[in-house]
Amino acid sequence: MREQRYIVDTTLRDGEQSPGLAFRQQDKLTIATLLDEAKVYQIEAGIPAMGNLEKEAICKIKDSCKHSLISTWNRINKADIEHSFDCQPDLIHISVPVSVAQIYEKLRKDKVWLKENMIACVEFAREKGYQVSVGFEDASRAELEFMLELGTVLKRYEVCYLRFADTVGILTPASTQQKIKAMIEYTGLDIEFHAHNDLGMAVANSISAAKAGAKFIDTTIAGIGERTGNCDFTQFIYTASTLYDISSDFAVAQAVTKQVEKIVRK
Amino acid sequence: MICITDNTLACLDAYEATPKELHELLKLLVTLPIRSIEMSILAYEKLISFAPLPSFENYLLKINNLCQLKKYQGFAGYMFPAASFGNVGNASYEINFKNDQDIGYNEECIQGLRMIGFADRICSDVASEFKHLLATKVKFEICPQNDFFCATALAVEWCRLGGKKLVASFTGIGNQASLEEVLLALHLEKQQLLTENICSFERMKQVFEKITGKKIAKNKAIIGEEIFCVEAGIHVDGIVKNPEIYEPYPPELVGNKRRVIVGKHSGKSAILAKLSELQIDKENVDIEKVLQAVKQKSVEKQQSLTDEEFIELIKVV
Repeated sequence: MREQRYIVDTTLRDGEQSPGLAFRQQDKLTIATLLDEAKVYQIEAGIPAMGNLEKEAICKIKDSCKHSLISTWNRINKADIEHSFDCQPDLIHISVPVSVAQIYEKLRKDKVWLKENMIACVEFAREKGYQVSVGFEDASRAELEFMLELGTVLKRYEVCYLRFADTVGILTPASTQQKIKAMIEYTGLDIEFHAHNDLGMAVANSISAAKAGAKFIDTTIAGIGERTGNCDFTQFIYTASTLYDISSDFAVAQAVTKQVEKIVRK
Repeated sequence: MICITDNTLACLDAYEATPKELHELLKLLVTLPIRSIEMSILAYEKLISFAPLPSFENYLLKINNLCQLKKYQGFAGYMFPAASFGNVGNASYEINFKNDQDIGYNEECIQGLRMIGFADRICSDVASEFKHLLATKVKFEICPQNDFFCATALAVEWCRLGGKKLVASFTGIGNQASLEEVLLALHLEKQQLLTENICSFERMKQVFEKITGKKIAKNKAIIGEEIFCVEAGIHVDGIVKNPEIYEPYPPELVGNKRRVIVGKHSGKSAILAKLSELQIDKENVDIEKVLQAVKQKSVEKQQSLTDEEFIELIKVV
């Protein structure tokens, strides 16, 4: 019996952040339906804080999908999470920037603030009965010790799993393996790996993460996404299928990609 | 010192490249930090029909039979398929023969051995396999294949474990590691630092597209036209504060430029950045109103706005 790995597809969130790309509501619904029919484990459907149009799209996706879990992406603030409540997703994802550059220069806060707010946001969503996952943004450039400290705290708040994001796509298979192994060993949390393709290694790094024990792998159709994109859905399934059981098979993934590419190329 | 052989010019025979185009591509290749340049006989004949080869120490010729070694003199080495060496797993061999030697399968004549393959090894214990190869006395050069989309990663892994010789090609043509990805990965991994910005990628891309008749994807790693474009509000906000927050390396390193574009995912930072870029005074602009109009327009056209459309929209709002 081979081990299972689960695909979290973020075509509708990180994928849509490809510069220049803007899905209409109907496009989002069509793509979600295709992913749902392909039995993708989870669909990251969008960012509710973007506004009512996005929220409406997510609600429609939630209503129409039968197999996949529907999640929403949130910054580390309660206002974003309240927008997510309006969509009643299966899972609320909270993105927590963890590198020094992200905390001190982008957020202009400090580690204490970050830890307190992370806990407050997780509690806020958990109190409403939501399943929560937390994403460590720019984890590949963050201090491992600090991430382990935050991860240990999150374990107490029963988050479903922790996303490790190689936000600027600088990892290699070896560095991916080392970091993912450490995260799993020290926090005891299930790990989701989120790759970017800046060095052309998104598939290789995702395989390496899976081999290190990450159970969830983020993909996008045709590898679309910020800058050079994310891990390609079909390419990952093709490569990973030699090692793992994945709920979506290659032929189905190819068919979905063909359909979605028509929308992306419009 | 990691020695990279570029074999782009050995992978273009299927295309109708003109001698002039090949020559321009070669002139750009010799500016890159690579050790050897390999070409096919067809490419070589086209090249010299146009002009002598640019000065470069290590030209290699890909040959199909050993008679060709005598016919085409003057190369630093001759790459010859060595089917008789058999296979290791699914890797095949090529021999690098020295120039001006009586040909023989001996140490006098053989400069190196290339192993081609390894495509599926990312799924197995590739580190042990590479360590084993590196522990042998043979100075192997590897040419990882890209059947499982991992060739660049395999090339970088080889170098991490002490491998000093590898093969790559521009854009990875020929189902191989992408030269541009390998160069940047080795730079970021601090295994082989780039000493200056690589400005030739842009022109190489244009020539390459002309030769192959195929457009390189806008998001292709390292050389994609739009890889330094930012639209998402959260990213523009970060880039404005410090570009390093959302960039793996400065765009100038690969001859590209950072560009803010406005569309469905923009935030106020993007609008302000765009106004500043277009030198429009922000004082009389209702940023929130413009932002909403930008989002609406972007969703309608299913794309981001061009600068002209943005300027028009400012006038209307």
